[in-house]
Amino acid sequence: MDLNEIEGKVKKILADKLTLTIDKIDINARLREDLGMDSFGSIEIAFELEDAFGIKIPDEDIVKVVIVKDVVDYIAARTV
Amino acid sequence: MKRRAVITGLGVVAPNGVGIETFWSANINGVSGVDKVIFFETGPLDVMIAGQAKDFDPLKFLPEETVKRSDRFVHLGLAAAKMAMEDSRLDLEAEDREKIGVVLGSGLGGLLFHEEQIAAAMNKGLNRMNPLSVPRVTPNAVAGHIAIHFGLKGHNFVISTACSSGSHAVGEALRKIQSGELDVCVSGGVEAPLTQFTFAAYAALRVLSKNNASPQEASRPFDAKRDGFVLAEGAGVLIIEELEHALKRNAPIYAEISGYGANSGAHHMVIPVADGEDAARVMNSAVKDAGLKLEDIDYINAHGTSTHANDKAETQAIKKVFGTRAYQIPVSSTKSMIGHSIGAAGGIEAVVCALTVKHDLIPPTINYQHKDPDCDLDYVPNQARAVKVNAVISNSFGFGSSNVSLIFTKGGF
Repeated sequence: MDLNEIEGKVKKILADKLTLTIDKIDINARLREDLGMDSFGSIEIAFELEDAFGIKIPDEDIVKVVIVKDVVDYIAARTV
Repeated sequence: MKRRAVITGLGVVAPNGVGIETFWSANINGVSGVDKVIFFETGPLDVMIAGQAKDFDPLKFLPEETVKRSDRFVHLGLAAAKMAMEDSRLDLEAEDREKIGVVLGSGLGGLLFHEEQIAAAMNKGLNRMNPLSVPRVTPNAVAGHIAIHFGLKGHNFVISTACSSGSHAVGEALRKIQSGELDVCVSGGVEAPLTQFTFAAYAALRVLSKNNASPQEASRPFDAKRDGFVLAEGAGVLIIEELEHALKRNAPIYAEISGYGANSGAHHMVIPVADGEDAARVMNSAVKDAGLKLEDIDYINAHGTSTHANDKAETQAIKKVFGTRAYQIPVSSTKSMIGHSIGAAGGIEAVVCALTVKHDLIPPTINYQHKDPDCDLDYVPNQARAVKVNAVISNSFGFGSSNVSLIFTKGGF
């Protein structure tokens, strides 16, 4: 899966879970401050990402991501 | 002198109407909201009908974020609360929010979400429960969401007494206003029981009508051919306000809530006391609480579920209370049109009673065709009746032997 494809999927999940239009999900937007993700939302999003990419995301990794790009990079590093 | 409580706002989501105007018109014109179940597959069940609020779109009332993060029972309750608040024209900015509370009834809480999460956990593993599962399922979620949405800082709780939950809530709201703890209370009942497992559980109790061939004729309280109730969803929410507070701001007043009685049959979790002794006692205590005489009562909005046991026992109870005058008092069951919405029923019926008192128009018991020798009162069959209504009793009897009667009166303020 290439980066563009990952980014597209990540943005779609974020838009859906955070009730935003996809054009609002800038690759450098901060998940919490700019996009309004709270701690519950982050867990729901982690579940969606696990299902979409077939990976496991431990709780301690959820707090590490800051911007949208961090999520894309995290997934790229764990998918072939 | 005792502080008095009046109804200054109404909101409703019911199978036969969303919003007061549509709902009242349906009740007066005998329009049923019962239909084949479309929300889910009924599979092998021999009950296939329900009262579904099919016209209700939560996104018309609530932000998408709230809709996504709460159960359907919260959608119903919060939407009805918003309608009621708007109807009351209460200016929250000008109010002391610590004197405004939320006291609602819900028998079951967020069951749809609960069931979905159990299914998800079975499929994906126990570590995949939604992080908001607990606050979505808890029965007080609806009161919490309403308090948070409007910033109401007084009492905030939910009463759960099955089919009498909504009436208990209205009665307790009355007490909070009388005592001076609150000036305004958002009250009523909410229920969203139309989920696959819950529907199956009610079917297993053998209390539901199997008249699948004629859904709109299935709920037939007091009729000889009644065969059980029709499970329904909905919400009936009222803004209950201290009289002087309402008068001071020229609020619209529908009716006064003037009496509340609550007791127990201490008998059986499901089966009512056969001779209606407890139901008679609770009606008497509500009339006494209102400071009224029995001859003041012009109409009874019956619990009238359409089960053999309830309708017979309730009829006996009314005769015990009123003697020969029982035959002269109009008694109707609006569950004939709405179905039985469990914890919402008392709230929705409080809305009906407020409108009955305001408009001097008694909604009918529809589907009344066959006389039952055990049920021989004036059930306002099939046609609404225009008659002066000064005082009303609303009955609600819950599983768990839990009874409530409320009295609604015309104000003349």
